[in-house]
Amino acid sequence: MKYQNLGFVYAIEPALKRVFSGEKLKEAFLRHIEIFNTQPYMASFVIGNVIGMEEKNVEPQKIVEIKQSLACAYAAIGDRIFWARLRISVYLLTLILCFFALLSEKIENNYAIFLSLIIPTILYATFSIYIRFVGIKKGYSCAGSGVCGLDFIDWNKIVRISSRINYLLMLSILVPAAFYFLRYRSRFLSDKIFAGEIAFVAFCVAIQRYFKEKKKPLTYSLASCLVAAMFFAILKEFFLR
Amino acid sequence: MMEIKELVKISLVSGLLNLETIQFGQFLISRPSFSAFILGLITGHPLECFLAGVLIEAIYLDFTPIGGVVPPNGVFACAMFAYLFNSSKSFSICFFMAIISGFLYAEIDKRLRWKRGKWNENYTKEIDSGNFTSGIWIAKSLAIEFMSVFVFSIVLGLILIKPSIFFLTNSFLKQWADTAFLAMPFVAVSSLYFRLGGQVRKND
Repeated sequence: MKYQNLGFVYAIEPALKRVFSGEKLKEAFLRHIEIFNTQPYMASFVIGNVIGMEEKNVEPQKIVEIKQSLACAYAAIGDRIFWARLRISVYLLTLILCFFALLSEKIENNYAIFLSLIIPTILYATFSIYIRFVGIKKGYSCAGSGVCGLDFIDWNKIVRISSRINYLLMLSILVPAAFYFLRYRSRFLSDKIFAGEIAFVAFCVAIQRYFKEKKKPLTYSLASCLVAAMFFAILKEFFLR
Repeated sequence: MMEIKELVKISLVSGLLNLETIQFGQFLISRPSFSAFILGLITGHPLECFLAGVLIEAIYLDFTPIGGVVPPNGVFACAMFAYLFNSSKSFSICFFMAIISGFLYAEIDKRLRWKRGKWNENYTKEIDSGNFTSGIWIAKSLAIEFMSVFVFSIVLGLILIKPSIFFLTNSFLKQWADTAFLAMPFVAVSSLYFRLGGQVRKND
């Protein structure tokens, strides 16, 4: 597998055709068909750098080396910012907006949900388009020299700030959600069953923590919860009613 | 007949939405909560589908698409939920079937990616012969990805509809699914909470 190589070639194809022709064009295509894997939004920085280098007729071996090292560096940054943080921010923001929109009786339900989905999406899309656009520009002007646009923003600062915002958003969801759950369930169930349910949920969360410590994916926790639920359902059916 | 029509509609839309996940855009329109809401509008259950999408997303957020990792497919899971919920109306049973479907499709996706990896040989040959057609290969890839989600969601939808109704008619199985479902928001949210806490601690 060569991951995103075809997409990369597709992106630089017009530039290559402008710079080279004949045998040289063929060689340029062949050197860029090799493995390429980075975070998709950050790929624009690499694309910009490579086009700049090709236009300046930098030595082919050097272009390939710089391309690969930039792909790794930008993947590390992009994965930390977009996949590990901003994607979660979008999710949490959707939940908070939805909570307030649904509470407001002035907005119809479907419209409220749509607004809470579209607002974070627009914010995220705008930022990702901006990064792609700036990436091409910065990368092109760097053309493999210096830090190749790696210093364009204080990436660590973005990582730090987004982590804290996410954590605060999470807390602001967690507390009212737990409160509503406890209030709602306790109204409709007998004390015994309600206590059993709380014990079951606590057990499932403990299982999830146990598997997380062991660095196992969430599928282990989900499967264990299903097994535990079967025992709890039997208990509820025969002993708690 | 109505159900099949509905399934075809859901499969078509989810096939298009799935293209946004990786190949086209990546603006998070295809994230489970959003795609479930869109699919819910088709089936007439937008609120239920949105809630299921929110939970599916909370669980799938645990899987980060880093390196060659293929995370479970949220659009496919939502498509299954929308269709099964429209037919059987049991939230918890459809939710679990949807979650499993998302993982199943990830396996199909892995195989598709592996197959597409073999295209490199043909493309290299084309370049050697002076043919530069990367756009055609990308269009081909988009078409295959769309067809794959479209076909597999129809097939899996038809396969899963019977077990989902069986679960619904069996009171113990339904209670089992309801009980397990009770823990899902907490498992997903606690996983996310500790992960975010870990991120803050690491940065400090």
